[in-house]
Amino acid sequence: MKTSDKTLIWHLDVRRKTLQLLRVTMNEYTTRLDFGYQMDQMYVNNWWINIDPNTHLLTSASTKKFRMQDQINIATAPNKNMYKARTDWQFFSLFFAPLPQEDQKISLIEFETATRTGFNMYDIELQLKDSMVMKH
Amino acid sequence: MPISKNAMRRCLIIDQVICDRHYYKPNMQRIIDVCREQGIEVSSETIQKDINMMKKDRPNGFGAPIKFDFQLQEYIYTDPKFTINGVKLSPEDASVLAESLVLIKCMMRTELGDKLRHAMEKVLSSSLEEVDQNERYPILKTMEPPRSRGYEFMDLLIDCCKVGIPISFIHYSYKNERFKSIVLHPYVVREFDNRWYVYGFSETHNALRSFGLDRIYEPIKLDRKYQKGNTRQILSFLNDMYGVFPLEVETPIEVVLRADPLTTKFLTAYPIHDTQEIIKFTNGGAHVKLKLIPTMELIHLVWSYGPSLRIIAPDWLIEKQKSLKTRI
Repeated sequence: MKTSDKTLIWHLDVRRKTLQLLRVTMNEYTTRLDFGYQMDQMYVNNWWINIDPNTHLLTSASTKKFRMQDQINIATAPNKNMYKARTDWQFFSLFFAPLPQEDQKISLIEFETATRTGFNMYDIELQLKDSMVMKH
Repeated sequence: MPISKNAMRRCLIIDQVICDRHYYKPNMQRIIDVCREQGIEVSSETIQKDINMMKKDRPNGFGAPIKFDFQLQEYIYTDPKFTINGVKLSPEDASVLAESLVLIKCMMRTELGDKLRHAMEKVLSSSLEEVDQNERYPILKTMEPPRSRGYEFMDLLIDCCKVGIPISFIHYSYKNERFKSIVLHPYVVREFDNRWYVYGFSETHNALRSFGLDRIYEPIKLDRKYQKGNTRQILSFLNDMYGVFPLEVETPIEVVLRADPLTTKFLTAYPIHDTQEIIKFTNGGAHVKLKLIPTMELIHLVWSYGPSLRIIAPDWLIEKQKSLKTRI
């Protein structure tokens, strides 16, 4: 698998309803995905979000599943982050096993069943030429 | 009698030798050797005279508690914390610094502020006049708002502005309820009305922009060419605006407000901007003329006075504030 000691950053704006994938950061140790979640007019009382602990990444550069290792600012199921109003928002990050540092398309898979799609996002393009490098 | 320049140099060397006792034995030979290293030819008699002078009380000496330890055959300070190489402050200096510390504590609750406070406390601790920080209440008190979100990025942002490092961060717009990834070449971190902002060139917007620190998430330094700012534009941002979010124009224009008599008194005492000019009417009310770049914050200020203060020129600004009001 191709890796380097650089930390690469992609700015993105991939949306699934009111979920936005905003940034992908990867290095030889981890892959980080930063998300924004905005409540909207769909809000009803006791709305909540969480992330399934089996969430993983798939990539066109490998046949492996890249499992979620950690998360910041979002509860893992069965725990929940509750919302109080339709104007509430949340920034959260998910950490996965390191992806290969090469051109690829990645998919975020929370649920593999066709009936539950959760935060699934498909075919997110990461081209090395579009990346920025983090200053250490 | 004042201490001569050469004697002062020797005294500093004696002080240095005594303080550096962990490295070399602080005896007469060591003092003479260090003097020679620094190009000063000196006899042991002269050094002995210098030591006697150092023992004298101020202003003829330094009040140095020097003692010759016969058992160890070396010079020591009986007060191990003593040094003549510290900064000596008058009681007035110490008092001013102590009050400045209060300001620093209020305004700079960051790592940088801590460093500055620590440095100043060190200076104060070497003062002849000890300032008793206990059992005192502050006679100078500024507003101390609770620490806001985003304040934790202050040190990183100041460092990036100082060194010239672009940053990547996620911005959340309260107004649009939308997140955006931003690449910013930061120039200035600025406070306005107890809120902190970073100002710079946004690659994302291809324009100069301000971002409230409370709306910034996870800033990361980028290894990328830094686009330097135009000093004139940066100074204009700092000086030509009341606030940080400009409306439509980029250069200062004349804005006229009309104030009732009571508000005129307050605005006379607390001008809105350096360019403020008050043209009073016989009833005590006034036209308040300003030359600045109109901002959202200026409109908010006018609203905060209710009917006592209103915009009368330019027309487009009157219309703008009306359109903003209808959204409330």
